[in-house]
Amino acid sequence: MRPDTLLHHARQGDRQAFGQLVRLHQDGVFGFLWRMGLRRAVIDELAQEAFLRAWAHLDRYDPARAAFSTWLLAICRHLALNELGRAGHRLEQPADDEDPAAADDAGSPPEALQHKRRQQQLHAALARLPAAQRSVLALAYLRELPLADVARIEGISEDAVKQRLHRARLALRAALENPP
Amino acid sequence: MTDPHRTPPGLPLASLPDTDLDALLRSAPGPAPEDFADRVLQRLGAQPQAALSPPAAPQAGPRWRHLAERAALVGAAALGVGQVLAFIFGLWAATATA
Repeated sequence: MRPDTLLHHARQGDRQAFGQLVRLHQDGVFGFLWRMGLRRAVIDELAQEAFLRAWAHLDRYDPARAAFSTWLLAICRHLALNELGRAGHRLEQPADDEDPAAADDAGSPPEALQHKRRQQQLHAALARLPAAQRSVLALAYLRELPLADVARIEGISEDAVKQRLHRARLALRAALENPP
Repeated sequence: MTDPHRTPPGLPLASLPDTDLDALLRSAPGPAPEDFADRVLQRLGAQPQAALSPPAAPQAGPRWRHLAERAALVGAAALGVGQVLAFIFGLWAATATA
């Protein structure tokens, strides 16, 4: 079934159709939340919350204004920023991710291990960036999301997105060069 | 774009060229758990419908506020009419004594 058909059915209360939408978008949501520097358990919880909110507010979604994925990412971003803003969630949050695939490291080829280690380093560096910079990086590197959509989600102009992205890249470099 | 798998193994992440770092940022960290959608649907089923249905359109304000506004309007109107009547009475009294 096509995504717009799924959406149409979901808006009429078809939970199975919504389940298909979840499957279509879940990897993007997880990828975004991971790039926000959040831990796996938090990512899972926030991703669920995002889809529950999307279901609850499907009647507010206007396909003429944005793609469903853009609307969903805006919900995710809101939840992630709230999470990061809560007391106890330090910027220097350790990336002690309980990666379920970590147990398979022993049997992984060296290249895959190298890639995984680099992802962990990257995750730790992302977690040290200010939330606004993480957000713009997470959106910009998510499946080549168009700049216009990043700007719409961030609520700023495309030029401002470019500037923020440039600063975020510099900050990421600095975080990688100076690990905690 | 350079594949991050193919960069020299000993090269620290901070030394990666921009293209490789971009590729690493773009690479998916891993798929969502297989049972994720099922768990979302379970939560949809577990929560009361009222909690998941769209919220009702927000009301303009509580009932007492409407009543207070109306009372203030009526009071101000009465005060205004009183002022006009007092002015007319003043004029009449002034002309009557003259």
